Amino acid sequence: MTLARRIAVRWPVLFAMREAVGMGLAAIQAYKLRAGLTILGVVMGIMTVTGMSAIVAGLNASMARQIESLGSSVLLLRPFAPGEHVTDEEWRKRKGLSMDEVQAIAALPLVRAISPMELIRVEMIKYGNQKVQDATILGTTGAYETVHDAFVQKGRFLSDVDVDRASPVAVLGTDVVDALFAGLDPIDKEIFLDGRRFRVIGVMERKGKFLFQSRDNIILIPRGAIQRRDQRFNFLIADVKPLSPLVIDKSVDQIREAVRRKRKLRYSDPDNFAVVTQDTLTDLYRQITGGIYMVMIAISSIGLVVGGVGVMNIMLVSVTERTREIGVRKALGAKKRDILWQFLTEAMTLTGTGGLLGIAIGGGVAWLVNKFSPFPAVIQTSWVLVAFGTALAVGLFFGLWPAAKAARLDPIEALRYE
Amino acid sequence: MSVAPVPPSTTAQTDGALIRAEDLWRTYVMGAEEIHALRGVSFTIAPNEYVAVMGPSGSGKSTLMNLIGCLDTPSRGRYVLRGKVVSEMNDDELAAIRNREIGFVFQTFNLLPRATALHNVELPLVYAGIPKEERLAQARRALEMVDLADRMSHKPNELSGGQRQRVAVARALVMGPAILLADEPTGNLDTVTGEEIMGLFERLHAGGNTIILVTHEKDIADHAHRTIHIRDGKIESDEERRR
Ligand SMILES: Nc1ncnc2c1ncn2[C@@H]1O[C@H](COP(=O)(O)OP(=O)(O)O)[C@@H](O)[C@H]1O
Ligand SMILES: [Mg+2]
Repeated sequence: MTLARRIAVRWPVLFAMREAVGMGLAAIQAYKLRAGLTILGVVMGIMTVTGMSAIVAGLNASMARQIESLGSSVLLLRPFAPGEHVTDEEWRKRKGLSMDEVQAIAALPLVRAISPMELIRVEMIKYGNQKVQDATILGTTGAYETVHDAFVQKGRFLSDVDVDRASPVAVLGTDVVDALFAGLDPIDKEIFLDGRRFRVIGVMERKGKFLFQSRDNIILIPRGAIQRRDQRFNFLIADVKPLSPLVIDKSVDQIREAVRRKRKLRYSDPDNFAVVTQDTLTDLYRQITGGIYMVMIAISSIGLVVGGVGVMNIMLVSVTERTREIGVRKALGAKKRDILWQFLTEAMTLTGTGGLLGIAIGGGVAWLVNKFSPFPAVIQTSWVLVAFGTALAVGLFFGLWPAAKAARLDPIEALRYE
Repeated sequence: MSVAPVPPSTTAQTDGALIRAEDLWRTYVMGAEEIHALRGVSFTIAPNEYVAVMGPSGSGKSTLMNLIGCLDTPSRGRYVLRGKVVSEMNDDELAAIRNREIGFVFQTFNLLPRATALHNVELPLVYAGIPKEERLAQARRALEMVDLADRMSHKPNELSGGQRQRVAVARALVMGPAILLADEPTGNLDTVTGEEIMGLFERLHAGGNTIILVTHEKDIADHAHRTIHIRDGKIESDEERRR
């Protein structure tokens, strides 16, 4: 006997699948409303999985790219770790870095460069009559270029002399240039930051977006060129580039140790600053997407259970209505498992149809999101397969009881059923 | 193929018996009450016999047919079909026997309403695990045999009563079973159509088939070559008749 023949003899219903699938589709036609509601549940569930996984995957991809684009191995020294929970008291006590600490870090063997940065608040940025309000103004040093792999495309960057003298010079991001200069060459032009005159000495290369925010809407000036007035925002932060990506962990240790020593923290004291790595960001991001996945699973579970109960209901009715048919099939030689599989296949046809619809709609939603929102949704074949498999599994699970009921029917009783 | 008439006593002793029923009992338990639908029925049927089972309503004819057809097992006694002891088989083995050895024709046709004639006839072949091509070829042949070659893709509700019963006969025969069992096959047909079906049975019998049919109409029973009368679950008479 060939294998196909052996399977055919043992599992005849596998060879009658078309019939069972046809019966499932016929059941949908026969009980339109009920089947519709049932399928709707499955559709919702599967649509959620397909759509949300596409959106999350899209986010993942762009996030990974963006985190990477921060610089292959930049460490961020911040007063707080992202997502860190601190008490109000602690919040008030946290301080930025001091230049003393920055220098200590710069001297560490595993540190290639450190770029201290102070965020400067300025109400009005002007060139002639052109104004910009929301640009980020950073007071920094020449190391900024090295640490961030960010270079000027025109003019020059801040020099040590500029920083030493706190010269009123500025390097602009392309967004600022576009907003203020509309086609003019900005080099050597004078802009005003809250009335203070600054000479433009360079224009940065375009950086693109990070977390849907432009990184080109930036003005870099020498650290100390504008004295900070509001002490609450007296945060000096710094980005650090280690010697190589291979020593990130060790350099983090060195930096922590250096800062702790400078701050005279005792052994038992926790860090009162944070060294944020790409991994930290990735972890944080994973927590967020993990949350999204939980929501996705919750929503789809509800849909699938609603659909599953509906399928069970339809199948129970179907088994009762077709009692006689079951009797006939048994009289003609159907075994218990033949009947079982017939009804399971029908149930899976019902949920599978819902699954396909859900995939289509979820895919459509993902496509729309991709097209009309800043989220780059990417349909995930693996999730689509999981979704479809889940739909079938729901049919299998919720069809089991009705199918077993059908399979157990006594042929004579079934044949006598009116 | 013509069969030489043999006296029943000889038939009963033949080892080539197709069916051997030995003291068959079937008792239904309904709460505290026991209903003995069959009370010790014994007989043998040889290949290519044409037997009519007669008796008043409630006498146990259908119960007996269910046992012969392997839809049910006796409460007591032994039933041997083609040398196989059916009374000791499990559900799956019974299903296989029904599939291969038994062809049922019911009073109410019992066709699947949503399926075409061809598909109805194909069903037993599906459960026998026969591949699609072969299945269709065999089903077509069976329908041709009952003169329904031109009605293969009709659904039951597009066929007359006689045609439906012919589809049912084709379905019963498609696996080449040892016995054709018919429980009141003409009960739902008018006299003319009933005769038409009996003509078909006659032809099948002449072609070598073994037929057992239940009826309470004398005219129908007269087509058979042997008549078993049942009353209150017991055989009242068993007569071979020369034709
Ligand atoms: N499933 C059953 N449960 C209880 N009693 C039954 C059942 N089937 C048949 N009987 C009883 O057994 C007897 C024989 O029934 P049956 O074989 O159907 O008679 P017939 O076909 O000759 O009219 C009747 O008294 C009937 O009521
Ligand atoms: Mg009866």
